[in-house]
Amino acid sequence: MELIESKTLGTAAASIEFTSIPQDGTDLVALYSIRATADTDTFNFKLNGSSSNFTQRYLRAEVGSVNSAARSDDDFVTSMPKSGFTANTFSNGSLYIPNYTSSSNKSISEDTVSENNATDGRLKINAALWSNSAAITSMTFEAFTGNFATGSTISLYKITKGSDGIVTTS
Amino acid sequence: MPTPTYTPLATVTLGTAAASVTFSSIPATYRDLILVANGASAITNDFGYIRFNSDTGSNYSWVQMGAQSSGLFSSSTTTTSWRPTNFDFSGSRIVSTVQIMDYSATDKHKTGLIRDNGQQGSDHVVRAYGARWANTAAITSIQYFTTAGNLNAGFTLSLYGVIA
Repeated sequence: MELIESKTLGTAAASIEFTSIPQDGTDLVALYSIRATADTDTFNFKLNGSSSNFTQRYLRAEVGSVNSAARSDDDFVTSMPKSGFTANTFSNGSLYIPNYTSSSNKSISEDTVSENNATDGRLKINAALWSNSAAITSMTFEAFTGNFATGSTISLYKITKGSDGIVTTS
Repeated sequence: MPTPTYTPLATVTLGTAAASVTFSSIPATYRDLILVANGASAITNDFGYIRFNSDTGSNYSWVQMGAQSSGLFSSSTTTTSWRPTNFDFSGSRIVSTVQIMDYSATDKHKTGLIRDNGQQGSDHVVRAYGARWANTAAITSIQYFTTAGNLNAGFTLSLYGVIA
């Protein structure tokens, strides 16, 4: 796993974008530690600038409930602390996208946790699909409203396939 | 230059549909293994399975939780394989990520953490899965297989080693 780029906000910003993603990897991993300045725990996730053709199903554990919902948009919910949450808390999340240069639709797996007030932990696992055959060349995280807080960090990594010359397959 | 944490050991991209892929001669030089399966199949309402070292005994225990359009679910069992992938609709795309910890240890049963993302038409099944292989042998081979149909051409399986 090789770092492509890591971005940490020195001032609050509405979006964090990775462009010119190299095409010599196999899978992409984005690790994020983010927080919203507004009263929202949602970011919009765009690939190649597109917010279309996303589907999702998440499983979420919150205080007192476990729930699930399907979505057909680019709103990745419950992915970060929002205004009013304990100061200095950020989410801990990952996005995994295999075969990002392929001409097939792109599967996306998201895991994320956040916490508030020592009593309000939130855990979400999310299965998503971007139904688009284009190779992924850019990735954008946009705060649903307001900004990502200062100190929010997103790091993008690539994983490259290959062979060690020892393991055989059949 | 950061140290790569995923060392690619082998990748298979199916040129033609097949029901099984086996990784053999896995060296004991890493701490953990990660297997990533991605693609589509001609399978409906069945699974992708994993076995280690050709062991067909009832030595595979797992517990899962998940969600799909019909609601939340959880279950556990002991059976003859792990079940990392839900193939619900023929042609639907999946990604399953299997982490196998301390795979070369000879003094412990092998444990795994699995995340599964299976397309169900315009919906999905999302699963988290914990598993144990009740065997202290070092893992030297992994078979990923199906029983109800083939993996489609273009299906990929990648095996990585992780250095502690």
